[in-house]
Amino acid sequence: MADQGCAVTSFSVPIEPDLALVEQGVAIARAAGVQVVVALGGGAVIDAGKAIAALVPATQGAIAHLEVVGQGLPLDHPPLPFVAIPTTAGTGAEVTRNAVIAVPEHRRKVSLRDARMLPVLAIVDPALTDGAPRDVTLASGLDAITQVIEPYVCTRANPLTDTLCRDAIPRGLAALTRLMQAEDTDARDDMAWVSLCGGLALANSGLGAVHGLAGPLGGLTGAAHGAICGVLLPHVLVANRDKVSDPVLAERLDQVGRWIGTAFGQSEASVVQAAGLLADWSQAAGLPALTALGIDRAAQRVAAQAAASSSSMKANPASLDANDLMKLMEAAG
Amino acid sequence: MISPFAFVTATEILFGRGQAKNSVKRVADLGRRILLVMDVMPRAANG
Repeated sequence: MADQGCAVTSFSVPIEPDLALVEQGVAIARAAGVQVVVALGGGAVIDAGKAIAALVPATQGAIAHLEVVGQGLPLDHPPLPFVAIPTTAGTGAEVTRNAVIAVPEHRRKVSLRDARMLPVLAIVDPALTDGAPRDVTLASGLDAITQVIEPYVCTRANPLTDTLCRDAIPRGLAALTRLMQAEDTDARDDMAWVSLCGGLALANSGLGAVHGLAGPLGGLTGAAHGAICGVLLPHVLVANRDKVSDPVLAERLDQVGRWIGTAFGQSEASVVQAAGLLADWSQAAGLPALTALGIDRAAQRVAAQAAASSSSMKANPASLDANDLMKLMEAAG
Repeated sequence: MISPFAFVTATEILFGRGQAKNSVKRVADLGRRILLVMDVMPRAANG
């Protein structure tokens, strides 16, 4: 960048961003008079950069614009131009219009959201994910797969997101299983594509109970988002298939079951069978159980209440109450 | 019948190996004073 005559100020994001860290970044950006924000990293880094770009021109404090714990006010000035360059294949945050920020005093993760927060440039270069650690690849990969499954079976799916998800679900399952066996350039390319599709799909249709629970659980415990999603996904699929009443959404869940079954050599698997295959494979690949992530029953009870009214739950294919959510978390260990 | 829907995304998406290295000038054209946000030990942008 210096060769192009640019003055670059660096800002490190060592953890998932919280309000204090974002405000620190905003102060540094203002002091340096920055004109553009570039985020190079995983989902936490991209969310932090996106939030900083949004808040540098804002005249009110960050809390005024946060959902749930703040007033959720729209930004009063357009964000700075924001460039997102992901180095993991997981969140798809390079194409979404919100940033997830932890607010420790509320023990919540909440969104800063505005349509103008979409990046002006998303650079998805799979080479940046080559050689990522196995545990990061697994957790972020399961997050990416969840983010193409939930939009496909949700109540707000549309033809464009369907087109993306139908390709990405089987592709992601095949690529992630290959990557757990050995480093594979083509599989890295596929996972980068699946992650991008997940971001496009979730931003334009909806999510479901996995993300409805993952937000509160992450805020309460600090457990990694991708790992939470990976652990919950099989159990949410089973609960949704049990409770779904719309025949179209039931068939979509069955199709997801067949795609998962195919990835593990059982192309005619039911949703329950497929979920078992996925859970067993994830565990064998090194994914911890829910309690092993530091999420005890007390946290699960709080999250079940919080998730039942979350925005992600509104698009879930079946109506799951706090008791249903509690049962599926118990099944997830 | 297809129900009405909207679809929004980043203004521009560049996908593929080598795009990061090849996009430096494209990024610089957006502004000369840049805040680079990254993790503590960023992986080399060697794509």
